[in-house]
Amino acid sequence: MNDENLLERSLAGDADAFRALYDRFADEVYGYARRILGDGEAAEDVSQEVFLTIVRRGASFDRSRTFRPWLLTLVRNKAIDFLRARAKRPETKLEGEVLEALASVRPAGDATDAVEAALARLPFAYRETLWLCDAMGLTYEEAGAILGCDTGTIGSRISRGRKALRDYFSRNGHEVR
Amino acid sequence: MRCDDVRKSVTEGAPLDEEVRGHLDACPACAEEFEALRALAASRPTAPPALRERVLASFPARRRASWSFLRQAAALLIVGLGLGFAFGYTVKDSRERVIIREVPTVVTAPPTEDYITNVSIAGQRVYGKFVEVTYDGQLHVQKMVVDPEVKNYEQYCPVARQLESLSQKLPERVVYRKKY
Repeated sequence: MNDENLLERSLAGDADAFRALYDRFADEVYGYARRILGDGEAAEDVSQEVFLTIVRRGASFDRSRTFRPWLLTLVRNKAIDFLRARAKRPETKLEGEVLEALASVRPAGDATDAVEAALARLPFAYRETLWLCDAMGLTYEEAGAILGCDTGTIGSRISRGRKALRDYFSRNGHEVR
Repeated sequence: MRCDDVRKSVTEGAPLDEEVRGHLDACPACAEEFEALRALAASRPTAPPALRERVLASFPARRRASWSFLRQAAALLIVGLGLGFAFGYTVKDSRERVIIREVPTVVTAPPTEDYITNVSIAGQRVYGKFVEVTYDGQLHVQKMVVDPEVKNYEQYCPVARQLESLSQKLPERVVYRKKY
């Protein structure tokens, strides 16, 4: 059954469909939230909120779109809401450097492995774009829809992000197998 | 796909499609060069099992009734219970059941039958038994029948906290006060 059908059945009250939907996307939702928030506990809270929002407001999902980018957009919005609340600066427009600074607030000891450390050094926009496209396998069009930019920008971020990531691994000689 | 094609593709920022991923998996030379990308793809965290329990547990309750009605009903119930406990209503023990005395409330406008029904449903859902709700100019949460094990205020606390979290948006037209 495809994602959109699972959503339809979940909204109709089918617990099995909702369970299947959760099992299909839980890792992606949690992983993306954690990537933005840098905090496993916060990522759990945001993930739960995302799935509850699906149940509450899934009816607003545009059937002409595919479910996955819509879901990941929801994750991003919820995570940014969380960052906003954490910063206690609700009037702050979370763009550019501000968003990057907030997202870089990582609990001590979180970036323990090589990948985490490498990602933590990347600018937020690169880190997020790399995560969506290279780790999660989204197309540039899908990532662009989530991040609100065109595919050229996505490609540019990917290229620079990959280079930065590779340079970091080369300099530090990490064994990442 | 040749190594040169993969290198060009990756360094230019082209999508890491199945063909490229397949090549990286099969070619040690390219894999070494693009180790970081492989590591990135392999570093996706797994959602904790406890999260699954939390999320799935919240699903059925939300689908059984209108959320707005449930929230209003739960809010009404907690205010009523809070008044009852705050003013020292007694909870009598019994081998069969425990009855909490009448907890009167006042509303500024008559509630609809649906509203009263949902107050009752909220009580049933939370406590597993029933709450009898009547309206005679005032809304009465008259009798709550609960299991004997759940007779102490302390044991109500977790439920009360849950309901409090639901009652943050009380409908403005509803005002609660103690009857006497």
